[in-house]
Amino acid sequence: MWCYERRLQYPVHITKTCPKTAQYIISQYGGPDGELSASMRYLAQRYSCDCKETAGLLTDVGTEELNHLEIICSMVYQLTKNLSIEEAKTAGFDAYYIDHTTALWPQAAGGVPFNACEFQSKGDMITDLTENLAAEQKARTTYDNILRFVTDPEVRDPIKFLREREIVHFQRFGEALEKTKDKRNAKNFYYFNPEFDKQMPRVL
Amino acid sequence: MNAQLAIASVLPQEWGNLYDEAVALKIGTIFQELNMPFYLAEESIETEKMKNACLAAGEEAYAKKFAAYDALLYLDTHPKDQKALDYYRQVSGKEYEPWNMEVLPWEGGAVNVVL
Repeated sequence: MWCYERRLQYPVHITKTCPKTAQYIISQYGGPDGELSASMRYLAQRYSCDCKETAGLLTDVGTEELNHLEIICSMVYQLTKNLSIEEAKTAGFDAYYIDHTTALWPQAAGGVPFNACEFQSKGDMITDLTENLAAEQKARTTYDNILRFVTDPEVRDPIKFLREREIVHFQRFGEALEKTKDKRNAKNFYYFNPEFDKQMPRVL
Repeated sequence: MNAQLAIASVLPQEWGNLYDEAVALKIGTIFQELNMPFYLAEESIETEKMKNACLAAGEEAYAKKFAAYDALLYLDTHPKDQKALDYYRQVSGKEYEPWNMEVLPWEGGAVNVVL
């Protein structure tokens, strides 16, 4: 179960309205490599995971991703909360404004709505951890691209924090994959799937 | 031997070289060797600024909680690392609870349920 702490994991204080930046950053809320995908990916994969430590890591990283989702939403909110109607019309936020005013709604930078097809929960830990390694890299690249565009240090600081977290999570999922290998036949990691083939001996 | 054919490999990290808590929050990790900034983050300028970062009033708690969480993820993959266990106890004020609990929560288990 979860309890809510009344603070962000990393503080966000943005003073300058910028709907264009909000339109980029919202991708890390509802986009294909965003924090909503990340949290749901890890929190879904853990149930059938055949290694308790890895199920625990998926829980703790998935929980941190919920914090990141909240940081991104707070940034979008602060970038648009004082939006004038003229800014809404001209600054690249117009289509979003028509559908959602200045409320938060999960979509990619290009306007594509959030979709669970953007992540997998495949039921094989080697497959899922390999997906997670790629997912952390895709999110890091998205943050790199945001850093190419955005100059406001009040926006860059939390983005840099979130980008660094992707690197740390990559390392942890890599370590979990090493642990998964140790539990399988080193001559053929793919001989069976311990998440489903429960009757097979773990180490041959 | 870490690398094998036909599967991804990542070198497991060893504990050490930590930032102090205020810097760690600004960087995004307590681990110096995992700090790999993007070149367009103007590393020399912005990282120097970060290193001298004074936390705003009230942000010390953010830094302490963040350091504890980064150590928690390390412990999830290194549950017996004594230095990490000691660090976690020091920054969080509690013991790390390993995940090798008898029954996981979604199978009906629970730890430390206090009414």
